[in-house]
This record gives sequence, structure tokens and C-alpha cells, in this order.
Amino acid sequence: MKENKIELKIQALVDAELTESEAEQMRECMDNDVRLQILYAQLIQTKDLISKHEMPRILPESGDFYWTKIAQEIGGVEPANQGSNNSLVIKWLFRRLAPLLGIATIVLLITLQQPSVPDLGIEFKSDHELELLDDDIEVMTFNSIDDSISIVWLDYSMDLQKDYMELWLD
Amino acid sequence: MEILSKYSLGKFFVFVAIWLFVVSGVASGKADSIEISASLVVGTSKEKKGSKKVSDPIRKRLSKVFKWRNYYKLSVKQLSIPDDKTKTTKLSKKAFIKVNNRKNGKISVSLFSGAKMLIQKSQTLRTGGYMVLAGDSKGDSAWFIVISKTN
Repeated sequence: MKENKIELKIQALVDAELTESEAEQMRECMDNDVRLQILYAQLIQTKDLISKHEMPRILPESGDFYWTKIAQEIGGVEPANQGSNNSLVIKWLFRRLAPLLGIATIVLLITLQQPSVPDLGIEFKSDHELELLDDDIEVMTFNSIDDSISIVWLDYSMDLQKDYMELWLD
Repeated sequence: MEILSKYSLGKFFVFVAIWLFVVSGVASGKADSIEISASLVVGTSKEKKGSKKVSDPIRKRLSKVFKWRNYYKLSVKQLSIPDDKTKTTKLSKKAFIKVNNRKNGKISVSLFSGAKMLIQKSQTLRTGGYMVLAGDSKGDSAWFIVISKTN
């Protein structure tokens, strides 16, 4: 048991894992024991061989890169879920609002079809126009205050005798 | 209640909207025409029993302005004129008028005697309002062309 412990300590000495005092103590032990010296030499030789001839093992990707990829995958999945939620909301709104939008559009079209100036029966100013083609005819005009009757009196005699007679004969 | 599912309700609204659109189109189409009544009236101091008298509103209005107390209809014409259209009607042996619908209740009336155009009067004519063109006639009488909007 003790020898096994000493061999582990020699191994630790080879791997430079002992403190300075422990290393000094082991060297003193080896000076007095040939068997330990041989063991030490074998271990040094083995370590040298391993360091020189071991096949390098290259990892496909570093640990940091691996976790970065996982983080990217998580980041990529979350927006997709959010997008599907948004599309559901849009579909729901479309189903509810499409009929209302249709009605609003129709009402707008109907409104646009109405006369641009509604006839409220209110006259803000007179829009009477008079055009006389014969300068020899004198004209007088009369408009009531409420504009309910407008009269144009022409100095033009019209013979209604025949019409008059027909009236009388009716 | 399943009948009134969300899809059926949507179709119902669309149907109502289309129906309103069609009805409004028909209504607006009717509103594009103006109905005009044109009367040739003779005003006289003589009373002729059995003759066609004008309506009381016209008689009262004319009596307030003119000296004659009796007003008789010689002829009455009804015109339905679409927007921006003109219609002609003969009122006596010689006299006829051309009425142009200038939209929104505004009309333009041209009075002709034979082939001669005497005057053109334009104004907005409200329902219950009158446009009167008048002049002397033989004897103690006068002619009146009374134009009113009936719609």
C-alpha cells in the first residue's frame, strides 16, 4: 500500500503536480532507492513518448460554437411562433371586420352618389339670371321677399284671342 | 343559432350592403329628374263662369301684384326633365317654352313666340315656388306663363 502511494507520488512528480517541498522529499527518496529511480525514468520516457507521438484529436467544433448554435436555434424558433400567433390574430380580425368594412365601403359609395350640395330649401342669395335677346322689349322684374315667386313682366303683347276663344268654347 | 355562425353573419351583412347599394342607385336615379308644371294663364277683370280657374295659391299671389282679379287656365303641361336635358312644350298657338334642367333644382326657361326667342330666365326653383313670365294681351287682359316644381 505504501509502495503504491509512493508510485502515485512519483507519477505526480513527473506530471509536476507536487509542491516544491514534496518534490524535494521524493527526490531524496529516489536517491536512496534504485527501483524508484527506474520507475521515474520509465514514467518520464512514457510521458515523452506520449507527448511526441499521440495522434491529435480535433473536435469538430468548439464548445462555445456549439452553445452559440443552440442559442441561434432558440432565437429562430421564437419569432416563428410569434409569427403564427400574429397570423391567427389577423385571420380573426379579417373574419370579424371584413363584413363591416364591406358595409362601410358601400355606405361611402352611396354617400358619394348623393348630390354634393344637399337641397335644404335655404337660399343664401338669389341666383336669378335673365337674358333678353330683343333690346326693343322692356322688362320689369319682381321677386317676393321669401323668393317664392319671381315675375318677369315683358312689354310684349301676345295675342291669345284664339286660345281665349277655345277656352270660352270649352 | 348555428345558422347564424360567423360565416353566415358575414354573408348576411354583405347581402344587406348589396341591397342598400341597389336601392340607393334606384333612388338616386329617380332624384335626377325634375318635375315641372307649366301653365298658360290669362288674367282678366271679366269673370267667366264655368272656365278653368287657376289654383288659389297662384291666384292669390298674382292678385297681390296685378290689378286683375280673375285668372283662367288656357293650357297646362307637365314635364319630367332629367339632369342636363331640355324639353320643349307648346302652350298656345304661337308660344312655346324650352326648359333646361341645370341640376339641383335650377332650371332655365326660354320663351319663344313663333320662331323668335323673347327671353331666357334661370333660377333655382323650390317646390311650392313659382317662376312667372307675363305680358300684355289684347283688351284688358294679360298672359302669364306660370312654372312650378312639383317634385
